[in-house]
Amino acid sequence: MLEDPPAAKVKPSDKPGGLKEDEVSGPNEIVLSAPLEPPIIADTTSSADSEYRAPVESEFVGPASGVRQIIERRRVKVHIGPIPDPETLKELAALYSEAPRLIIEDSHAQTSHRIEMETMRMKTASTLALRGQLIGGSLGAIGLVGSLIVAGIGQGWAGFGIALTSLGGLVSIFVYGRNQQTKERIGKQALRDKMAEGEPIDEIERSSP
Amino acid sequence: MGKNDYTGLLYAEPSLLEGFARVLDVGGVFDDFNYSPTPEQADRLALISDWYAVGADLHRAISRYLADKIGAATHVGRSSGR
Repeated sequence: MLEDPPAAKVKPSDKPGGLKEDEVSGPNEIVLSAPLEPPIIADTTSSADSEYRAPVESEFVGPASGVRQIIERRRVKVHIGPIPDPETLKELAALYSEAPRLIIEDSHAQTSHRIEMETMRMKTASTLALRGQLIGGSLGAIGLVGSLIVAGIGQGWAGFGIALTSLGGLVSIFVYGRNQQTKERIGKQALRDKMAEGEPIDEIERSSP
Repeated sequence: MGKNDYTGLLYAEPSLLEGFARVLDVGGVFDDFNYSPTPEQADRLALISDWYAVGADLHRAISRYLADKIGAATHVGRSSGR
């Protein structure tokens, strides 16, 4: 730095210990803020004797550098979920002692019900698929065995026709089924893309099939 | 009203037809999924779809309520700015 530090500008005639100085900021006698007073901050949402009242911590820093700085920290507790917060549960228990147990059991029962529904849905879909596989396999087998029997009794072309029809049917269903599955997956991927882009729910719902 | 299903977005639902078709699926080509580029992206999309499901439930409920109370022509939601 080309300039002398502020401390060097102090006249030598000043009494030592009179003005407290900082080498960088110089004399720090000026107080810019009001005198120390408790901050007007309060948690107005919880009652005064509540143990869940949001504590407010204030810290006064300074006036080391001549400016008082107030740092405030506020802790807020938010509860979201099917079970009320403990304070509410206590209040309910005061009215009806069984209330907390009933609420928690109801919540648990609802969760179990939803899990059961999803399990049943997947089981049903898988059972349907298995049933289709069995029926399709049986029909194909009947067609092929039938064609062999027909061919065996001297009707070669008829047997060939039956075999061809059976296999053709299965192949058609295979191609069609795979096509349907691919279409469904592409539709779901498009929905995922829309959600990833943050498209509003009403627009997605409006454009749904 | 929309009938989007916000779960099971990674795969096609099994069906009777699929079972029929699986008779010839010797190579196991039927099982395919909607993949994500990274595991983090997959988690993010799964969380997003959960919240969209909640939003869709609310949207449908509000739409039904307004349709009953005010009229079937009522539309719920923000106007599209796109």
